[in-house]
Amino acid sequence: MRKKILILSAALFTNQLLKAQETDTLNPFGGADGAVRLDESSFTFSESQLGEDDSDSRQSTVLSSSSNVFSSNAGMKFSPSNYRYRALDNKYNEVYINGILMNDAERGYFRFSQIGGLNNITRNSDDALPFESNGFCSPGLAGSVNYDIRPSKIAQGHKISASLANRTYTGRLMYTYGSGIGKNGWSFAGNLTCRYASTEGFKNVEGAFYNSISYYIGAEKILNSSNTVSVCTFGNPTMRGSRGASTDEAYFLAGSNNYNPYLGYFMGEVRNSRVVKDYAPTTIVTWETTPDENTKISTSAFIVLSKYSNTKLSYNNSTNPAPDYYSKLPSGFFNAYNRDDSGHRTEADLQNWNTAYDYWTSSVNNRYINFDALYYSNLSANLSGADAFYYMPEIHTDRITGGVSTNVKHSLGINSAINYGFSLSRNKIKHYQTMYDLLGAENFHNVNSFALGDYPSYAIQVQYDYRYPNEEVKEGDVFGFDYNIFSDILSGWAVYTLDQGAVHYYATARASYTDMFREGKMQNGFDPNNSYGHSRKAYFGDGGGKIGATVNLGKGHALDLGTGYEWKTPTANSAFLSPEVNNNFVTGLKCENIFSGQLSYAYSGSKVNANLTGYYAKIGNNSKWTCFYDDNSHSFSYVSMTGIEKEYFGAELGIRVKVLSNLELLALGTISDAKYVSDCNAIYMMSNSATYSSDVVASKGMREDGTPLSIASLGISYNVKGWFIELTGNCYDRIYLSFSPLARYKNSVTNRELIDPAGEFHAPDQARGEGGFMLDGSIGKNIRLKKGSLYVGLLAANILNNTNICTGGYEQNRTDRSYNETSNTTSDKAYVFSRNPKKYYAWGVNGMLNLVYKF
Amino acid sequence: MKMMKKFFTILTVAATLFSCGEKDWDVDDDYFTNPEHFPYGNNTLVCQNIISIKNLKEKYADVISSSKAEEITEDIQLRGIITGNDIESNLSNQVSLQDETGGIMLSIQETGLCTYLPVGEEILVNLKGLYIGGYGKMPQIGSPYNNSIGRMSKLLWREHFRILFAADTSKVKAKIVNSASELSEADLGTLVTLKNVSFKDADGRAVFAPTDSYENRYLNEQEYSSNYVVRTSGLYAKFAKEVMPQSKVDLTAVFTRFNNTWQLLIRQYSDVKILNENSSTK
Repeated sequence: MRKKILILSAALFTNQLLKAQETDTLNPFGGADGAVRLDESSFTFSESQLGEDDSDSRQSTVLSSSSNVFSSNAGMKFSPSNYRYRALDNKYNEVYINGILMNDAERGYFRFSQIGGLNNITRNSDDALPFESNGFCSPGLAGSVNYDIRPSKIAQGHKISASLANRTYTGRLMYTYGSGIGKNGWSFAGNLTCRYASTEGFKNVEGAFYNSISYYIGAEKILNSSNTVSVCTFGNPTMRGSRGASTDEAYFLAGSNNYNPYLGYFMGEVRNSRVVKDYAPTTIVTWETTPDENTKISTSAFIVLSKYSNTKLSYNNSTNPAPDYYSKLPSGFFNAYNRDDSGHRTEADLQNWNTAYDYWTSSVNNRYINFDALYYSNLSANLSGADAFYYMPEIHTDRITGGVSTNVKHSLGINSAINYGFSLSRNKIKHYQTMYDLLGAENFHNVNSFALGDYPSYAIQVQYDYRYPNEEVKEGDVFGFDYNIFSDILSGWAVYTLDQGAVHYYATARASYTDMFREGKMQNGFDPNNSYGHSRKAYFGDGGGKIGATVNLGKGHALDLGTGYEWKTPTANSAFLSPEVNNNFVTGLKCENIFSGQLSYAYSGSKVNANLTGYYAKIGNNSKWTCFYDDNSHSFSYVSMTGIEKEYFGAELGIRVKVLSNLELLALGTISDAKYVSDCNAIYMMSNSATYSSDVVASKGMREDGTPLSIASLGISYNVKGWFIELTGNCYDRIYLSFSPLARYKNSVTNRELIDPAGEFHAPDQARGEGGFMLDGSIGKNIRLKKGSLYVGLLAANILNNTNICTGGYEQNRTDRSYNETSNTTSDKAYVFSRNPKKYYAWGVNGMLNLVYKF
Repeated sequence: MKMMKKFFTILTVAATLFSCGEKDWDVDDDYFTNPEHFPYGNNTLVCQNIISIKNLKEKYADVISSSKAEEITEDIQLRGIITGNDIESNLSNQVSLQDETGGIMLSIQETGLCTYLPVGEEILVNLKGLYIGGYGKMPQIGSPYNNSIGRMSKLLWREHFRILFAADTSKVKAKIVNSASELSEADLGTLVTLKNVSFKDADGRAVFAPTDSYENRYLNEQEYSSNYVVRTSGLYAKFAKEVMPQSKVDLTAVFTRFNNTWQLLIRQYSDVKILNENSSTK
């Protein structure tokens, strides 16, 4: 006990921590950090923002801290803007469950939808900011969190909640049971959640249906005074429709920033072309032992069998059926941006602009996918025996991960402690494409239609799988690509803490070994000797450490200083040049090197808590892989960018003032930068030729995208007579969109107009989205009943219905000029791609009504 | 344990009630046979004031032969069958339309025309407001371009046609041609099958179009003089890099002209029907 007290007092913010613990049980809207964070409804509120898509760009950072006013609130409060902590990639935010690192081995980040709907199970978490000591890891650059989901940690009793919302889902039912620890040493817990939305339902994501069941079952047994064993299994089978980004022109024509270009009509019914299926059943067995009073050892073994797939609409020997495809929009006919472009500003062009405008605005059918037309075309293709013009492939990413992890907490006396651990995981990630729906067509073959025309139909190059040339593809069959990525990871970490007088010192270290290789399941005609079977194995070793100190200056003032350096293995998803085609690794692939440092001041008084933090991080040797359709080459382009250098720096401020015993103000703000500080190298391969080209991407000065770099927030919370009221205003600004490498290739002929006479390349400015003000609020009441308690709460976000706040997006990977090989000249296209990035906008006013009954 | 039983009961019931699946999107067979549901074109057009292709060409013979373009101001319409499109991209931005009296090209600024103008489909074309002219004296419907006829925008086109009957390939019959003398100007824009011909440069290696340019290939048969060419787009045609057969073939193509050159446009590789693999012509 004495040790605990010492540690707590040496840690900075004892006061806050205790307060949080108090208020958690008493007051769900009490305003203390822990309470707001852990509250049922607050968590639900941001739940729908989290990691629904299988890409990290649209996932908010889930981060918390009991010790920092800014960090403990930022993740949750700013989630409507898709806020990422310090604009860092989500792979730097580590998520552990029962002490096991759950971040994906291939992409490096955790997809929060895997625990979607299990809010009540993941309440017991241990958080670590980048420069904080903890008992489960050497914390990540964007912090770490460990959820302890063992049944003994689940609140005892029954809890039933029913919710109505107009968010990604419209209805939710949740039941949670915790037995507590029984006399016989057993504890059990379970959870079942159903979330639902129909395609047509009233919600903020147009046409995105939602069907999900989340379950959790856990059993734990205290074997004796020093040993407990638990088994937990959970999963979240989900099927849902997606939302796509579109251009401002399309949003304007549709009359709503809620427009979803993935939608269409089929025989009069709404149909979403992007259907996501997601299920990652996970089982964890944990054994905790206390061999002596100073040591606690926790060992977990786990297995995750994840299946994720996403359908999309594809086309063959026809044009892109996307309703917001540039050639269907008015500005695809008339250059509205350049008065000097007389070639695309004729009378006829203007007339076409008007006709397209009238067409787009005259009927909802004209601005969505016309599935009837796709079927009609395919039925006519059947007559001539031609392959489907339009079809829906399903892109699969299945993961099998298993491993063990051991964490040791060891006290070295009253002033110091060492925590350490190691883990081993084996990962197999299967990537393949199946035919989801032929949309009425009878024929399709596993051939590369991009290569036809450059190669005769009998050439090996047109075969996706030369072992089975011209293989017929029926619904459910695998085609196009099929490969596995294997990776083994062995890692270890240690955290040492020492308290001397008013100073708390800590040092952390980590090291890991990773190997990875690809196994091709198809013999691609472009590289028949290097596509089927195993690639060579790549090995990486990395490591690093952090040191820091917290100085208690007395009277509630404290200073915190930390710095660290580490090497980090590149993720497997950026390690291969064109994994859909062959076994080639990216050349010159190296571990990232990361320097980071932070200085923080904190004040903790009876009425005021405040933090001011300045930070800096530099990441070198970063690499990135992307793939897009390059219309200049009429083919897909697989692009690997290496040698990226980025800098992150900024200041974060959080102040909480207790104005009255039941009235609190919370002010948060950050101003930051996160940018590329160098140009980088690109190697790309075209899907119609399989030749590699290299170029330099003028990336210097580009910013991290999809998160606001400047935020200011002011909130007020009040409680009276059992009512809890909270109102928060957030200002978001400096939101950048993902930049197009293609538009910044320094040596590309289509970009040569960007070179001045002195030979200087002028990269186009990075596209940005508008920020803005958003007002969020909540009101709730706890009612004690004869048996149990009832909570009623209403949450409302974006009350002022500001739908003009951009939450991210991307520049289209197309150039404004086309190249004529015969005349070696370039000319303007009518459509100005650089002025028409695809954007996502924040939801309009949205709310959720919760009823929670506990007994 | 009582609690656990209760929990598992609730879990089982909820999981049973909750079906997690997407709707089945089966095609209703009758749906697409209903002309009201044809999802392309302008379904408000009605069949009236039909002019035959032959009469139309005669009416504008001067404009066509002078390779100019003229707006059609009369309220007249064509009714015909699609006989050629860009299925393998050799005909690009154009389709051939044919009725009992002849054929004509429709020139449209759009790729993927084959997706809604399949061979055998019967359509109605409202000519009022469109242009007719001659491109190298080849009669075609489109929009004015450089004092001649060019492609009309897909938006304009969309308003000017209606699908009458979904594709029926049995309606498409190519004219059988046994010698060049059987071809005349009246056959322009129609589908023809040249019987028993062979390619001049076929050597077992030569392809239809080796570079990204257009390539003219000649026939060995003497009646087809050098005025007759088999023309292939090296950049667009999917069969451009196929080797030309050395044997005799039956060659189906859309018959067009560019000034005084008679052009045969193969629609797709299967238009070249090899008669006897073993018989070399050289």
